[in-house]
Amino acid sequence: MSKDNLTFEESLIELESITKKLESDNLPLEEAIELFQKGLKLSKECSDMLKSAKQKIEKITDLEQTNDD
Amino acid sequence: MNGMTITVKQLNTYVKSLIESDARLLRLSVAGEISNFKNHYSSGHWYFTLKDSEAQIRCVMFNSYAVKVPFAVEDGMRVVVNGRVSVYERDGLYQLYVESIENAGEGDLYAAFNRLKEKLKKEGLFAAEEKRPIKKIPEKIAVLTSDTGAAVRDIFNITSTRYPVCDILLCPVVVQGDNAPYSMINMLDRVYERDDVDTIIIGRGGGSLEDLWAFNNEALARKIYESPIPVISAVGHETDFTICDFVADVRASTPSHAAELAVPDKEMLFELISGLKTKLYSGLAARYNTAKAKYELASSGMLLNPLRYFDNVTIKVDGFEEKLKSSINRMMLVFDKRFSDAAARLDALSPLKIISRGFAAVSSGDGLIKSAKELSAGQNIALRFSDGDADCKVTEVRC
Repeated sequence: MSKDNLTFEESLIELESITKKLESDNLPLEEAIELFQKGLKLSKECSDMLKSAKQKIEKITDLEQTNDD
Repeated sequence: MNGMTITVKQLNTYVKSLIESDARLLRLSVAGEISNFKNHYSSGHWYFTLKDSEAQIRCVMFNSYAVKVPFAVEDGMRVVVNGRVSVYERDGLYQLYVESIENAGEGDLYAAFNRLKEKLKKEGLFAAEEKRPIKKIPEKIAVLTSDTGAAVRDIFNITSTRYPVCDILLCPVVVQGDNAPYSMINMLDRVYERDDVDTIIIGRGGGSLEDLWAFNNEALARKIYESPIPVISAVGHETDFTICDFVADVRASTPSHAAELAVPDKEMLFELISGLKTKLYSGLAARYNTAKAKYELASSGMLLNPLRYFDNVTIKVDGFEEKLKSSINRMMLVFDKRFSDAAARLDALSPLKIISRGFAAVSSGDGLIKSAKELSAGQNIALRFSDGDADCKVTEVRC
């Protein structure tokens, strides 16, 4: 998982914005390389999340049971 | 008849004549549900009871009419019967003499459904502009359904296969019977209090019209309308429409379909990511090429001394000289700007950058001088700065 604990959606949105920036802006090379590396890392994180995620199921219990707590 | 004693037969005949004298009872349509249906084995006459939630009446349909009914009649069927009311004198029984039956299917329930649908529609509860989009990539979905039904299994299967990143909040509710609307309304209230739910799926698998009836409850419909979270309704099969379907943000034809609408497809996301990755590579390549072109322009001699470029230009036409000069000045300005832009982008190893920090390159007619040992007193050398050259003479060498 990302060290910033981004959700899948947040990671994907950031990846999209990095790609856009790298594609369209007239960036200095050093900055472009930095963005590229960040984007590559995000794309791997996104793929890993999709591959390794296991659905978690939480169940709302009856009110009576909640009151027992 | 006051004070007279009459026979039972006379009484029944009299009541019958009263009833038959009322034109409204001679030709009428009655909606209800069929029960105790009997097809008399020898006569072919039909006998049944027509009932609704509060009352019932005996019905008879003679063979000559019964044979014309184009569908099978059975108990529990909701119908509208057309006929007349009369009295069977022998048993003192007033009953409906049915001449035709319409399969109302939904009968009075259907009428109630339509009334409620019209009412809520008028209030604007179904308006298209009230519909919110479902979150494309949700983190948590609340599923309101029976936790023992097929619907919940279908939803688990599909969401976990398509997009396992999304978690499920299972909210068990009663989905049929009198308690169902109350159970679902209560549960919705609890889900509305949470801030971690992106989408709500409410529904159940297929069943009879009565089984699905809870989803036509007005209070439940209004509760769904109030939802702060987008709602997908998923009641029964493709052909079943309920009030909840109309008021929800999105209607799914089945619980499985709801699951598909609620989460994205993992395979499509993989494709999206790999597409973005390709763009990262091509984006970087484009930036590299731009930088390279600037570097080449900046390091070509022309930019360092643009006037040299014009050394070989012979000015043949008088009067154009001034014009040409100002053109050259303009070009130099442009080149200067492009030069400084380009130079700013060169990496730290660029000789131009080093020079611009206060260093100068030393050369003699034989080339660059890299050591003091190469110098001797009295020698002529050239110093090259970022903005020009200087010719110098060595006065003393110490090394």
